Amino acid sequence: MFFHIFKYRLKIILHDKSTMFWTMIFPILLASFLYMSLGRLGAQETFQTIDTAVVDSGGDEAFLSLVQSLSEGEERLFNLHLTTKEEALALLSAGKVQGIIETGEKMTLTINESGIEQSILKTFVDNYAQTVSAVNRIAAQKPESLKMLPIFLAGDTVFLEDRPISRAEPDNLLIVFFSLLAMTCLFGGFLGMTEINAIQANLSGQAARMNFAPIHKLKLLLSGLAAALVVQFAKVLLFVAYLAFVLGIDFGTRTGLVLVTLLLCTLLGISFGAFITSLVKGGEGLKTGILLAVSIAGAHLSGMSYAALKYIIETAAPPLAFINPASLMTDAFYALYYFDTYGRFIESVAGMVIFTVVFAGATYFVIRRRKYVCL
Amino acid sequence: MIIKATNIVKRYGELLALDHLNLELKEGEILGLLGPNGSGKTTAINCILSLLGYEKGEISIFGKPMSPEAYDLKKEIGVVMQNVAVFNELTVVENIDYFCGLYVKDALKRKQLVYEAIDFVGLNEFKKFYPKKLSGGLLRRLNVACGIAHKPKLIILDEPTVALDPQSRNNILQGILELNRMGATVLYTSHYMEEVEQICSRIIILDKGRVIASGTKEALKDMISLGEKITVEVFGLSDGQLSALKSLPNIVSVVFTEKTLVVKSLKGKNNLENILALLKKQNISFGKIYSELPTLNDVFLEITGKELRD
Repeated sequence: MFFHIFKYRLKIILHDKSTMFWTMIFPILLASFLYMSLGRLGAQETFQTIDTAVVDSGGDEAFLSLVQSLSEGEERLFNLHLTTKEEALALLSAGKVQGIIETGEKMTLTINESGIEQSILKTFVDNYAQTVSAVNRIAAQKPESLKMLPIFLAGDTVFLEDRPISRAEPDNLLIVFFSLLAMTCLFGGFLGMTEINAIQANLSGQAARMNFAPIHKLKLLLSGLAAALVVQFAKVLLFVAYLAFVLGIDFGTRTGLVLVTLLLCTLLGISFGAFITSLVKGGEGLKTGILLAVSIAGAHLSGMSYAALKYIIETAAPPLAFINPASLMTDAFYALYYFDTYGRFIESVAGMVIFTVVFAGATYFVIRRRKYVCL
Repeated sequence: MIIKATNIVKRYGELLALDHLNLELKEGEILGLLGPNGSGKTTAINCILSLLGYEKGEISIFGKPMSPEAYDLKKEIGVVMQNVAVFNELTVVENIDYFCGLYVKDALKRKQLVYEAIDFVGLNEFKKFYPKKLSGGLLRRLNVACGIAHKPKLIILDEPTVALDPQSRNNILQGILELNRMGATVLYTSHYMEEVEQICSRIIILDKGRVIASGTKEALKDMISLGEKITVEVFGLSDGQLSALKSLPNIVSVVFTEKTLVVKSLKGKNNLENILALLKKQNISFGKIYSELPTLNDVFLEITGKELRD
C-alpha cells in the first residue's frame, strides 16, 4: 500500500508544472542572474597592480631601489614609470597612471581622483616618509642605536600569530548563493502543501475520497511526504550541481556532510510547507503567499541580496537569526565550507532538527483528526 | 440492514443541518435521498461515512458501528461524490488504479478490476487520456469508475449527474441499475425527482435536515390529496364557464392562461370524463388534452408548500 501511494504521488508531483517551475527552474534562473551581477562585482574587488609614475628630483636612491623592487615579479605592487615631471603629468592626465610620486626634499604625491589605488599610494608614501624621518632622527640623536635598526624595522607589526581557521578562503559571495540554496530548500514547502491538500478532506475532493478509503492517515501522510522528499531532494541536488559545476560555487571538501545537510534542509522545507498548510485557515492563495513570503524574506535576511545583512541580523537581533530557517541553512553550509571545526555547524544543524521536529509534529497533531466539523 | 442511522443531529454553528435524521437502507435496495439544495443530503452522507462529526445519534453499517477507523467496513463501501475528485496529473487508467489500490492490494486482481470498471463506464477509448481532455460526461463516468472499481457491496452516490446532458445522465442511471442488479446496495442522493423516480426502489424526502416523507414512489404519491392534473388546449373561456368547471366534483383548482386550461383534482375515477362532458355541454371547442398523475414535486409542494426545485 505504501509503495502504491508513493508511486502515484511521485507521478502527480512530477506532472505538476507550476511547482516544478518554482522549485527548480526559478532558483536556477535566479542563481544565474545573481552570478552574472555579483560575479562581476567580485572581479572588481580583486587587487589590480597600480600604475605609478616616479619623478626622481632629489636622488633618493633608497626610495628608487624600493619602488623598483616592488615593481618586479607577478605579484608586484606597481607598474613603474620612471620619467620626467612633464611626461608624468601627461600620463596622469591620460589616465595611464594613478599617481605621481616625486622625490626631493619633501616627497610629494600627485593624484587627480580618489580611489582604492590612490589610497594605497598615499599610505605607501606616508609610511615611507615616516620611516625615513624616524631613521634620520635616530641617526642624529642616538647614532649608536642604528645597529638596532634592522630589528626595529622587522618588528613593525608582528605581535599576533596568523593561524588560519580553515584551508578555505573567506568569501562573502558564497553567503549569497548559500542563502539562495536555503530559499530553494524552503520552496520544498510547496510540495509539503500539495501533500497535505491531498489528504485533508476539508481541503480537496481527492482528499475526501482518500479519507473514505480503509487506510490510516499516518500511512497516507508518510507515503506522500516520502514522494515529496525524493522529488525535492533530487531537484535540490540538481540545483547544487548547477551551482558547483556550471557557476563554480565552492562547497568545500566535505561532500558527505554537505549532502546530509541538503537532505535535512529539504526535509525542513517540506515539513514547513506541511505545517503552514495544516495550521493556517484560509485559501490556497493565502498559504502560498505565506510560504513565499517566509522563504524569500528569510533568504534575504540570510544574505541573499546583501551578504553583510546576515552578520547585521546576527549581531543586532540574534533571536531573529535563530528563528529564521533560511539563516540556519545558510550558516550550516558556510560552516561546512569555512570552518575546520564542527561547533558552528552542529549548532545550525541542531536548530534545523528542532524546527523539523516541531513542524512535522504539529502537522500530524492537526491532521490526525479523523472527523471534520465541516467540509 | 446495510445502513441504520438513528436520530442524527448535526449543526453548523447556529444552523441545524440534520434534525434527528432516521434512515434505514436494506440489502439490495436503491434508496433515494431526495431534497432541494441545502436540505442536508450531502451532510447526511458525510455523517454516515464518518467524515463529519455529529452532535447526537448512532450510525451502523453492515450491523457494526461506523467510525473513521472502521477499515473493515470501509473496504466494502464505494463513494461517488458530487464534485469530480480525480487527479489531473494521472490518466484515466492511473486514476482508477490509484483509488482502487487503496482497497485492493493484489496487483493482478486490481488490474482486472480496473479494466472491468473502465469497461463498465465505457471509457475504453479514453484509457490513456488525462482528465483535462475529457468532456463533462466522460469526467463524471471516470468519477463513478474511481468509486466503484473495487466492487463494493454498498455504493453511495451523491448527486453524480449534476450538470450533465440527458444522454450522459441516462448512461449513469443505467449503470447504477446494473450495479444494483449485480448485487450492490445503493444510496443515491439527488435533487432531480425524475432520476429518483426512475431508479429508486424507496425514497426519503428531506427538507431542512428533516425527513418529511418516505416510502415507495407510489406510497409517497398516495400520501397527498392531489389525484391528477388535466391540461386542455382551449380557445376561449368565459367567467361563467370557469365557474361551472370549478363546481364539478373533486376539482381543487382551475387555472386558464391564454389557450391552456389546467385543472387539478382530487383522487376520483371520473374527473377527466366530467370535464370533457362539461366542455361539450357548454359548446367549448378544445384541442389537445392530457392527464398527468402527481409527481414527487407535487408531493414535496403539498407537504412543504414550496417547489422541490426552489
